[in-house]
Amino acid sequence: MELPVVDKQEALARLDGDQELWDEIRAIWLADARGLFEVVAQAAESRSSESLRRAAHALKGASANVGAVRVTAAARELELRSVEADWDRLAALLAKLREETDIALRELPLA
Amino acid sequence: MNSIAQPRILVVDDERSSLQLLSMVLRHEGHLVDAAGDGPAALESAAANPPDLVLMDILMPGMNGFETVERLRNLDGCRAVPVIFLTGMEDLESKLRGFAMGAVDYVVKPFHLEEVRARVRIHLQLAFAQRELAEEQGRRLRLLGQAQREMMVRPADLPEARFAVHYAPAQEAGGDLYDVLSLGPGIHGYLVADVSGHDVGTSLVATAAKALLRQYAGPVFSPEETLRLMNRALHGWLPPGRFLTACYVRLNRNTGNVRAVSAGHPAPILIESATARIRHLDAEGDVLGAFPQARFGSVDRPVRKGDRVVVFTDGLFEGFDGGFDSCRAALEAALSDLVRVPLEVLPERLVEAMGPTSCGDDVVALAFEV
Repeated sequence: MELPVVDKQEALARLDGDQELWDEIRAIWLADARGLFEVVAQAAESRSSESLRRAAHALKGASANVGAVRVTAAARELELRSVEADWDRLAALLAKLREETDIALRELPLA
Repeated sequence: MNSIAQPRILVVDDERSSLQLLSMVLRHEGHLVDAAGDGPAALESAAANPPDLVLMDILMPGMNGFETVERLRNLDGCRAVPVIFLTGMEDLESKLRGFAMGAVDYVVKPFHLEEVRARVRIHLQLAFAQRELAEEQGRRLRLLGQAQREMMVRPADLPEARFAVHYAPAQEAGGDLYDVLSLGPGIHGYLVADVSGHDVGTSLVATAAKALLRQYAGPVFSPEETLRLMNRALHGWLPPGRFLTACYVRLNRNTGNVRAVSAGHPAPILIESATARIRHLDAEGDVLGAFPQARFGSVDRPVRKGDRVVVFTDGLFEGFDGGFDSCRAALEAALSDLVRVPLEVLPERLVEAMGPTSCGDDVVALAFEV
């Protein structure tokens, strides 16, 4: 079963059902996600697996808070695989992460 | 530490939404919250306002969470602050390392606010309970210290011993002690000792040492035998690593003689009244309580009326960088200025002349006059 782009219900359950709090976290994510992704992309380009791991970890954390579960999953995959330094495979995962980030940036404002 | 009514929590996370989320939730709970986006900012905040609890992200660029906690522990008021690490779900290794570093708990990301609140609450309660316990211990130590001071013989209690003393335990219950006792008409014993360590055990040892002195100081025993018997009793009773240094001086005013016995203690000083000459009464001896068979050397000197003897602990030398000789030179210089001061103020003035002794050790300076 494919994950939803945003699992707002799960996020709200963690946040005591506080819609306002979620709105705030969402605003932060919408403002930061592109920048966080760019850090990931740069780390991949410079082929530094440690930087890549840290950058993916940061995007994962931010996305998990707001309930952007597909971005979270893609970032997590990248974080875990970064140590293998299989750069072809990592490039594919990075493309997937970019796609998921773009989708979430489009859909999250409507959620 | 702040009051339990409004605890201060330091939240450290480089990721903005986590930082915001935690800060807001904890503020809503009524806590004072300091938020820091990286290790250096956290250290700066903690130095200015020591927190009661720290929530620390582990994976941060630059200074990571472990490193930050290590440095945090060196700040005033943060040595024992409880730390909760913020970690990813799959980060077992980080969790274990966090606990090894003295973390009290961890919270898994993404945060479940109810869980965060519950963990924060329980660890604040624990921290404040521990503080109360420590304060209670402090109160007990103060009472013990007070009792210890009250048990010390004062010059007015034994005027014929003609002594004056400066006694300033650095801790609530200190390891320094002195005693003065009458051993028959015209004969007095003067003891100054220093117990290793600074805790409740130390003051118990001090009390025991005084009881033993009184038991073995009678006219049937020589001063060396007194220390030997004390050593035997203490050795059977003290835990390993615990010992005393002591100087015991017996003055016989009838025969005009002092005998000083040392147990690894700084030598007492004789100030001859007629010539203002200063003599170190050097005698070598083992420390008390560490070995079953200890040896205690002694030195005898004839004395005249008006001569004075000063017995002290090495706390008097606190703050001196120099070695043995420079300490002695300083002591001689200080005493040569104090040859003519009244006996009652001699110990006090000597301690003053030797400079600030606030460096953590206790000081006893005891002077008596023939």
